[in-house]
Formats: sequence, C-alpha cells, structure tokens
Amino acid sequence: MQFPIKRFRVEDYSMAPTFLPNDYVLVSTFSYIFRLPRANEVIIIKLPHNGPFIIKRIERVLSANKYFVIGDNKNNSIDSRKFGPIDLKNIVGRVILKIR
Amino acid sequence: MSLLKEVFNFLEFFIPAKKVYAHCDIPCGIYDPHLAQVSAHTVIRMNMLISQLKPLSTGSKAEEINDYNHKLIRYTDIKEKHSELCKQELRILWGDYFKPEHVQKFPELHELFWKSMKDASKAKQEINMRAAEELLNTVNKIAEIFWKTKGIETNRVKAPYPTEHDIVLPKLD
Repeated sequence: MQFPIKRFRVEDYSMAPTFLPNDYVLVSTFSYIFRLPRANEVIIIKLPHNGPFIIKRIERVLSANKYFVIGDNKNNSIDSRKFGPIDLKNIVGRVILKIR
Repeated sequence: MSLLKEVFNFLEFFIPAKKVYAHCDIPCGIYDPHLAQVSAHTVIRMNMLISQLKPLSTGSKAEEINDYNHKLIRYTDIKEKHSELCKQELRILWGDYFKPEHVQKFPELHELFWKSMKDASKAKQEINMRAAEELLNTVNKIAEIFWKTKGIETNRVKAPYPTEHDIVLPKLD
C-alpha cells in the first residue's frame, strides 16, 4: 500500500522561480486515482529505467495516457521538448504544497 | 525561514526526503573528470611525438619528407581534437555539474576552469609542451575538487601512459 503523501526536496532551477533548490514539496500520490491529470498542474515524474524523479508542469494533455510537460524556467529546462510526452504510469503524484 | 521549513529541515536528519530534479540533461547524474584527464594526457603525448620526429634536412629523400609530413599532420590533428575534447568535457563539469554551493566551498573553481580553457586553447594553437602540462595540472586540480564534492578521496599517481605524468584517481571500493 502506497503512502498518500510523499515528501521531496527540489535540487535544481528549471522550475524557478516557482520552485527553487532546497524547497520541499508535498506530493499527493492519490490525486490521480479518481481523475486524470490536468493542464497546468505541477507533478512529480519517475523517469523510466530507474531514472531520477523530476518535477515539471503539465503544459498539454495529449491523451488520457500522454502528457506534455515543461519546466517553468523554459530557457533552462530539459523536458517534453527534449524527451517527448510522458506516460501516466510515470506520474508519481501531484504537488499540493511547497515549503520554502 | 518558516516554522514549517524548520520542521522539514529537522525531519531531514532522520528521514531524508527523496530528491526531485527540476533540470538536468536527461538528468543522468553521470559526471566524471576522467575524460578530460585522458584528453589532457593525449595532448601531452602528441607534443612528445611531434618533438621526437626526425627533423628534415636538405638531403632528405622524398619518402622521408612524406613520412614526416604525414606523421606531423596526424599528431597535430589528434592534438587539436583532444584539446577541444578536453574543453568540452570541462564545460560539462563547469556548467552542468558544479553548483554555487561548490564554488562557495572551493572559491578557486572558476579561476581553475577559466585557466584550463586558456591552457587548452594554447595547447591546441601551438606545439607547446609547457601549455599541455599546465592543462593537465589544472585538470587534475579540478578532478581533486570534483571528487571532494562527492566525499570521495583521491590518489595522485603516475599515470600508466607513456606521458609519465600524474593522474588523479578516485579511491573507490
């Protein structure tokens, strides 16, 4: 059974100024059980092949399973513009609280 | 600092939060100064080989001239390519790996990177062993700092290459 809230610490700047390094975020892992992710929501993604967790904003919902994500700091972000849309199964949860 | 942030910082000592990356080239998290070090050694080796070429004279035969030109072009080509490769690897470390907190702890970092760029350019432009050795020395210093930021001790040993110059290696289990 998965814990409904997870705690993460932001490491880099691509979501600046919304999120900065050393900000904490609380993430609801239950948000998308009853509904699908929506545009403009900030989410945590687990990259495939045991990759790291990344934080991005959903720019467009392409389908129920495909999401185009982007960093708020567009000039300094590697995101769906580079690695393409992400799958629903890779979304860990929705960011519900930022602690700075 | 908010009270909540203090609580979270306190909690961090006992149950560290998972790290979430906002930026990075993928992010893969794979950085290593070794490629820059090997490139710097290659630049030294090419300078050695160039200096060991048998000089031409007015009495040199056509095949000797051809052989000299061929080798000089090859050594120079590799010297230029590896100088540039060294710069490229250093730029990745400088721009992608090192963060402001590293510079706070190692204030000489920017100066070292800036110097290494200049050394590499000089080593590329000239047949200049001194510049090549300076480049390797600077790259080794950067390598020592790199591993320190990861909490990994290093050894400075004589590299098992014909250059017989030092290389900084991490002490890994």
